[in-house]
Amino acid sequence: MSSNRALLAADLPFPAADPAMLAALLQPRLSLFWGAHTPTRALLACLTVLAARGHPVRVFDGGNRFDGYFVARLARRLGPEPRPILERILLSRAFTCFQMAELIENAPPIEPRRPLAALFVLDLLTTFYDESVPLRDAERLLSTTLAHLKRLAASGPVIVGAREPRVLVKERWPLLDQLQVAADAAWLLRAPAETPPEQLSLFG
Amino acid sequence: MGRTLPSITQTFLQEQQSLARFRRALRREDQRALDDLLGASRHHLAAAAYASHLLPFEIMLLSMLVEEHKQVLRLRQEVEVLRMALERRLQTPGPEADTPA
Amino acid sequence: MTSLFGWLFDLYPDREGMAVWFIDRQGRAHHLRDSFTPVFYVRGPRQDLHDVCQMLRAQHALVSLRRTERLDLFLDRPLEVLEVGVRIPALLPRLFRQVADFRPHLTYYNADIPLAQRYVLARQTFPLAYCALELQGDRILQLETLDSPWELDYELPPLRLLTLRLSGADEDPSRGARTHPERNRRGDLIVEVDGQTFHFPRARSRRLVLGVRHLLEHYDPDVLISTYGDNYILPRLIELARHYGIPLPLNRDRRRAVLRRAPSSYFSYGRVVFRNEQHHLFGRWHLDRQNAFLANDYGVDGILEIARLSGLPPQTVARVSTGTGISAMQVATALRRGVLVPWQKRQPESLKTGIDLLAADKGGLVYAPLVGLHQHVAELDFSAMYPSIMVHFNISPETVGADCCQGEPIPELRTTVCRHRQGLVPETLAPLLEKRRRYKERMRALPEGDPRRERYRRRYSAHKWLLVTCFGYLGYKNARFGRIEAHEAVNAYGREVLLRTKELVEARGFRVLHLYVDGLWIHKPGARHQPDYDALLEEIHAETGLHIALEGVYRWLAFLPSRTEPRLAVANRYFGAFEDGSLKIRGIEIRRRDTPRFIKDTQLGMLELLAQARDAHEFRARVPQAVAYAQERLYQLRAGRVPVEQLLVTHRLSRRPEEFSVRTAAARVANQLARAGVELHPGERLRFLLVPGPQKALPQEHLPGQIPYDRQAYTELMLRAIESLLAPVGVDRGTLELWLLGNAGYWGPPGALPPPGCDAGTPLLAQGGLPIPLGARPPQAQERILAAAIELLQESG
Repeated sequence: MSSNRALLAADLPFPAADPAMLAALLQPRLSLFWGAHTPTRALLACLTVLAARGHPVRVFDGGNRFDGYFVARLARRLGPEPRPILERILLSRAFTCFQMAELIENAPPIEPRRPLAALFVLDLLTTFYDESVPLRDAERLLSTTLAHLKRLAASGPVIVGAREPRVLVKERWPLLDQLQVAADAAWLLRAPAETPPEQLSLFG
Repeated sequence: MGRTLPSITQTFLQEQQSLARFRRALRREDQRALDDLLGASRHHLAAAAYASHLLPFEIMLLSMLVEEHKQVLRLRQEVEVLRMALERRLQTPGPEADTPA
Repeated sequence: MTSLFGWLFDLYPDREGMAVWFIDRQGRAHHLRDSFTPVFYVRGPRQDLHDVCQMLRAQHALVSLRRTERLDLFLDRPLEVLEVGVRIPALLPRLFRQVADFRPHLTYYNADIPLAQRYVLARQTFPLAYCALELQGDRILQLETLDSPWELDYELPPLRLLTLRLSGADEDPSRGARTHPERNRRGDLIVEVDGQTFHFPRARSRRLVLGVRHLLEHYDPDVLISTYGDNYILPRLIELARHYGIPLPLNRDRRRAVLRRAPSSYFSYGRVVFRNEQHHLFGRWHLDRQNAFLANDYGVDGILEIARLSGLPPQTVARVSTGTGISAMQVATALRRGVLVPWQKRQPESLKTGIDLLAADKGGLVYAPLVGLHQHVAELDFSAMYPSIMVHFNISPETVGADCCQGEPIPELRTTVCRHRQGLVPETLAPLLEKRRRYKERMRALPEGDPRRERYRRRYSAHKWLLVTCFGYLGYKNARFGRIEAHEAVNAYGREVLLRTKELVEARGFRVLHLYVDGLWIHKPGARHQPDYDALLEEIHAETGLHIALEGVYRWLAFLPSRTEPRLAVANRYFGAFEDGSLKIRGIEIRRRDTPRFIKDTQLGMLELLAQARDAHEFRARVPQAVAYAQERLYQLRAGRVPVEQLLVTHRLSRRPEEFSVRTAAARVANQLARAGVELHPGERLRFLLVPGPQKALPQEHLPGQIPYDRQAYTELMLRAIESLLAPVGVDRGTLELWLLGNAGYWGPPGALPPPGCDAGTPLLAQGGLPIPLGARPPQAQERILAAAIELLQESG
């Protein structure tokens, strides 16, 4: 078992590689990973490790980048059968911020069962950055959505990935601010799993 | 629209990249042979995409094998043709009639 | 009370109702009005709906409010909703926005359907419908439509056209600075109407405005057709008229100003699309040939056909992408069924496992064809495959994964499709497919020169574009009735149908050379002509349920190798000649928008020579001629004798000029234009010439006439284009350069000696011999090998 863990640490991106991190993430709280680019790879690795350990995983993908082959490859390394691991991952893709809001608003609370189910939201903000949605509508909708995310986080682990708005789109930064304020803990990831992360303590 | 998963071409490329260290340590002539095999695996991308196999690398290997085997069949056939032609030639000697088998 | 017979020509919200224009048989235009109460719907908790009603009543809004039930397509059940009817149509957008801001968390429906479309649907008519009217003064009391959008042969009103364009070169006059003094000034205004041409010099601008006004008043045209009217002529005319204080009656409805829409760029399917500015008229149409999306394919006939089918007015149809047309048709079906039209796309994907995603997220089958030159190849194509699949297998947002009935299992996926009620999308598409099929049949029956053929072809072409965009719309994030599961189902059926077809043709002894989404290329020795395939087509239809047609039998067909991987072909790059000598070309330079005219013409010339070959052997025999022709053209190019207009490279800007990080030729050109004060948007086209020296490229607008061009760069482009045509017979770049640029290498690639008997003085091409095709071995080589093998055996004893 410990040799598996050593293998795990070798080339997996943060936070999947760090058992202490994984344990911390499994608390009922809202954890945010963000950066210039959305840390989807890192979160995919993380959710695969959790699914391999038997945790049911629910994924809301707002960035349309769920790489099923990456997950399958990793699942194969973590156990003899990748198929049951993939069956334990339930996914829904949202292509508009309204769909994302609908998904989160209607998500059932996380049951207090063992192993604990986890909710991952990949690339939460991209659909809110869509220029065809007026900023004030996006802000309003995000505020409601975040309230629901906090509701869900009260009963189980909710892990969110997000990216900064593009350089030429300055007006959308307040959306990222809203998300950072709502999060119980946040990590800025500079580059995909290369440099050690900086933790910004955002509590309260 | 949709198109969430990487395309089959991208997936094969990823698998190829994961072989980078192995390739690097090979001798030059062996690298060329490996490149041939990798090139061969790209002949069956459509079927690989359709298969949606959990582990695309397995399909990649199979594709290489299919192409290799086709080569073997072709070579076998050529050898047969040459062998028969040679036999015929040796039995009915031409201008070199003064050198018996 | 009076009666009127005529065609519905234009309509828009006006004062308290709608302004509706009709044109009668004598060509007279009638400006009528009608009252109309468009509605939108609100769903939510009772208290919130109550608050909305209170708010509206408090400000004495002219609305009618009532509770009613309508169907939600995705939830597949009736919902209780508040219906808000807006008595003055023009106020709907503003009123709706007010309510949506007041209670943003509620769900809204039927909020952003264009008023013109709402009106025609409510009155059960459509643009350009022939109607019988009962009038009281100018008020419509009754409207009866004596026409149907599904008619194949329909009458159009007699329309008077007036065309507007600028004299001189056909370039975008809005591209500001023609800084070079030797260049011609921008052209004068040329107006054509009623068979007469009027020329207005731009220098006499006051006379120009007066002249245009006079023509408009005197001829009272129904349609203005312009070239660059949207982005230049109309705005300039309006500006001049204002400057001189001369009223310019561009609109028939004098009380209104011309409607201007600003230019914009948006992102669609990974590409930037640029929408140019627009000028719409009232009581009259303005169509800009330069700004009409795809209108070159289907012209005004096609635009009017789409207007009749979609319910959108022609000025709108002419300028939007065809996706809007099919969306409007779906909305029409929804309204007829009492289905709610969502405002913001909320319905997310149903949860699927990682396994499900791997199985579902695939596109159509795209094979790599067998590289090289083939002969007597048949191409079979499914007609309108994806829309046909939607209709035949009943794929619609509400039918995929429905739990109302047992349902048919979808191939590869773990869901089913409901089969006992027709879905909204199939209901919309079925009559369109049927109409298209009937036009095709009619066209085949008509004699060659019949004028109806071209009209049918254009309408049928418009149908094709509507149908093509329908599939994309099924999965499009902003499509009101888009649903990813439906999109995936269509793809799954597409793959299954193609694979079953492959199995069938292989079982009948055919070899499959290539498969591509909805088509396949097959070959069987002896099956050389159309009739040989009739039985096969029937069998495929019986097996799959879909219509498949023989595109043709190729005399010869070349699949091109990839530039980087010579043993692999690229799926969509090929060219071939059918039995009747016509060519089909895909993916090579002649079909690409960026290629300069001179190079396209060279490829075409070579292809025309090669097209006369009746099989692969004759193709090879004609290569010398094609090469000689190419050599002549290349010589002209390198001698500097090609006019610069034929060497312009076209490029579509992917971003704003300041966003370029690498200094490509396009980036330089964009910067030059930007510095000259021209405003460029992503998605706009640039045309430029490659020139020697540090500048590298010059925009078309800055060309001072004939100047020296970069011969090296154009030679490179030319060689690439020639190589595309000769690669299937084994001619590589090195050999090509030797033939065309060098003086040697007649026998073949360097390093090989000519065989005995070959006259080294005469080019091999002229002797009829050719480089060896890939894979084969020349007979002489075989001899040598045998001789060497015999020697070896004798040595070893």
